[in-house]
Amino acid sequence: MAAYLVRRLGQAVFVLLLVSFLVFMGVYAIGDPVQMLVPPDATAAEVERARVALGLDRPILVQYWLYLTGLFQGDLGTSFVYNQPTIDLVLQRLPATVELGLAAFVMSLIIGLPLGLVAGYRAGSVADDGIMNGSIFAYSLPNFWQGLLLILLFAVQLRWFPSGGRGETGTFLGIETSLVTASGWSHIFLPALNLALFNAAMVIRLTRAQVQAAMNSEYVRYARAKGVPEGRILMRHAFRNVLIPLVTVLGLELGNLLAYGIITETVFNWPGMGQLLINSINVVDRPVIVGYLLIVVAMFVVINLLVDVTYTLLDPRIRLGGKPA
Amino acid sequence: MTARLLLTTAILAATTAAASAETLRMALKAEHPSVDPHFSRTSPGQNTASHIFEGLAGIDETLQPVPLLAESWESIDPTTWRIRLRAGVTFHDGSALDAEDVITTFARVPNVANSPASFESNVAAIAGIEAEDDLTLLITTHEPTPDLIEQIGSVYILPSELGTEISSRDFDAGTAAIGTGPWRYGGWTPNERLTLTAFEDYWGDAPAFSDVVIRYIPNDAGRVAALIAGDVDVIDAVPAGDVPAIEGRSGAQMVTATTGRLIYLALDSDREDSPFVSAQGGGNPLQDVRVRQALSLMLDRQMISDRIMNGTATPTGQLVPEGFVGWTDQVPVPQPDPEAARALLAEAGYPDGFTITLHGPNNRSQNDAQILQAVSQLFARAGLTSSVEAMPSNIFFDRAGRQEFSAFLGGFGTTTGSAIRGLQQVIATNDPEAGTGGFNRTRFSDPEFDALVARAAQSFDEAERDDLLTQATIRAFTEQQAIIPLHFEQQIWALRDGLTYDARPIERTLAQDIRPAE
Repeated sequence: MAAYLVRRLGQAVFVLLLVSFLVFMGVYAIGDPVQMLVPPDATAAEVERARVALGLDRPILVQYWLYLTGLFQGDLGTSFVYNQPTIDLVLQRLPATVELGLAAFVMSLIIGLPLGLVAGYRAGSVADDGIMNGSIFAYSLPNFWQGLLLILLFAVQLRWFPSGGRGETGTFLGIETSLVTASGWSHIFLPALNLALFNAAMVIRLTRAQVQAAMNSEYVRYARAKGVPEGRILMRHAFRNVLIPLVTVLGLELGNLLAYGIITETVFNWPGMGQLLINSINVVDRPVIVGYLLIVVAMFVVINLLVDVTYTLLDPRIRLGGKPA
Repeated sequence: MTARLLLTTAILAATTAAASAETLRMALKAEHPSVDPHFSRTSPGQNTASHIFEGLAGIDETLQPVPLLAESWESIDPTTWRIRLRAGVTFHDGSALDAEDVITTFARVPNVANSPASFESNVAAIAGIEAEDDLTLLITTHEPTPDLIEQIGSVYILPSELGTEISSRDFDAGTAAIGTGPWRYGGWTPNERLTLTAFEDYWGDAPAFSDVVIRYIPNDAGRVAALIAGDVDVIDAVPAGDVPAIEGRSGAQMVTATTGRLIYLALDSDREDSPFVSAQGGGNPLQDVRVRQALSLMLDRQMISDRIMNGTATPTGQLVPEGFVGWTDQVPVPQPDPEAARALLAEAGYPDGFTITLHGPNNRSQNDAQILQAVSQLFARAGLTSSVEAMPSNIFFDRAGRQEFSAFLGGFGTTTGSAIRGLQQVIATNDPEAGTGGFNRTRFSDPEFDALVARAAQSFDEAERDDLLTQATIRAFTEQQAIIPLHFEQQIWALRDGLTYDARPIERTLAQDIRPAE
């Protein structure tokens, strides 16, 4: 297990280095951040001074080298726009993104698992048809459009929920989160639903297929022959086997929810990391773009590792690294 | 029981109504990079600063300087000024404004670390500054500076207790956010919201609200939805396309003001070979002034304003809108005249037109890509072969700066109420040494024009200065057609019913100018 973790860590460092190089070169090839930062009536001398102040007057490889040396000292660079360390900016927004991602994740399970179970167990029934057709809608409607429709219906017409932004925050176990206030919940509901719908549809489809396969398997037939009640067969025997492929997909999906809630965050003006990325791209705030992507890659690496470890807990037959753990 | 319930509901409703009248909720498109008022001269930075801090001079409806923290100013000789400060002004920490505060502030301005848009140039003219008494300053300048007040007047004054080395972070955290303005700093969550509370000892008119919450919503649709849903009371930068939709709803109203932000077509008129224009027989037709005049005559500016901008643009043929220093009635808004345009083209040797590609940003100015399309179609109607290529502004500015275009849609915002800076930066010869032509990306150059503007900038006599600026404007726009002005953008705000906003022709949304309607 320890050797396995060390090997995975080595791979992670390599991936991070590669990504930092690719992103740095890519981002630095486009646009001119100075033009976006100086006032519209700046003189040429002022523009030049800003360029020097940001270190943009040096060759690109020198800039990359400086960035890399900073990186090894734990410095992700300083934002051009806010003049604050990138890491501060991203961490400031991390709680908002995490709470939105988790809320959406839980919501997608609450919606997806029961519906998937019903659809799979009663395959071919009217309920199954209804659920599957509904999930196609959730699956295929573009995320931003769903978001706008939710705003139009629930915020503008019915006025049940606010149209965007994050509610008041409270402190829970030392973490500042909006999930402990009423205003926080009313603000998070729509964006979380928006983010959850796609995943819920996927959970439904995956659960349905797995349940169908499991219900036709030998052990279920055997359990039935033994006279085990149907409810127990479904929840105790079939469901556990359904969970294994689900965890793989859900693990990656949790990563997606955390890293790529960008569209939802933009539509609902949710002050998370995704919105920071979009705003930073618009003003070519290069250090923030690169820093954000590095953090996201690191997050994916960790989540993948956790997924692999979770397998072994769910099914003792699976071993890490191909050798006995 | 029912009666009691009704009563409770009524009381609840009454208290909520009162509370919302106390707190003003605004949603703005752009956020300041720092609360430090000297960190960035850009509009978002100054918008926040103008709530908490004040400068020596304010601006009136046509952006001319009016007394603010300075009560009066006079030029004693061409390089010496006497400035009298207003008595009875206190900072948020209770200390009184005096000459020492101004001296310390001006000394701090060049010390702001990493500022991409510093106020340094605003105080660069100052050679010496001393206090004659507590409320009187004597300022000497390096050379004659007729517009000294315009330059130093907009620098936000800090109490001298903060010293000259205070960092921007101290302002962001609020500990140093001490000004003389109508609002105190209440808290800032970056990219989310800024809260302000009314300053009880403000020297001027007390603001109409006890608190302000400013949310930052860069997404246009999100901002409009927040207003319509009743989440906020005021939004800025309403997209022209959403104006009819908002007007169609009850409970909201629009306020517009013509800004000094000019949208124009820049023409690559200084090179033999230009990358995106080609004519039979070669050469660059844009070098010929008759061709540039013909292009201007092909455009129907009123139609662009009506159709593309929903009437929210003010057509023009010069650099600044009416009322600003340097505006002249001798350069009227050009009317479309395809016949005259054709005649000019034929005279210049291009009876069959030529081929041109127009470039521009697609996310910098209101409807910029659509404006480009309209201009291109008007060119095509007049016999040119014209196409359009629009791109995100972060890429556009980079390429425009490297002179990769032949004709592009540009924008220049006049924020000082005078045409001088724009004439110097957009049209005067590109000369980094002299500090002129910084935005002259097409390298247009006309010595006669340069001389007129240089003389105007040195003139202390208003009548003489106005005359020189008029001549320079006629030279640039009528005789030489250095650029093709299209229109001034209008700034559009939407307010919930029951509020009024005293808007200025500048990109600011100030809570102190928003009041309940009578």
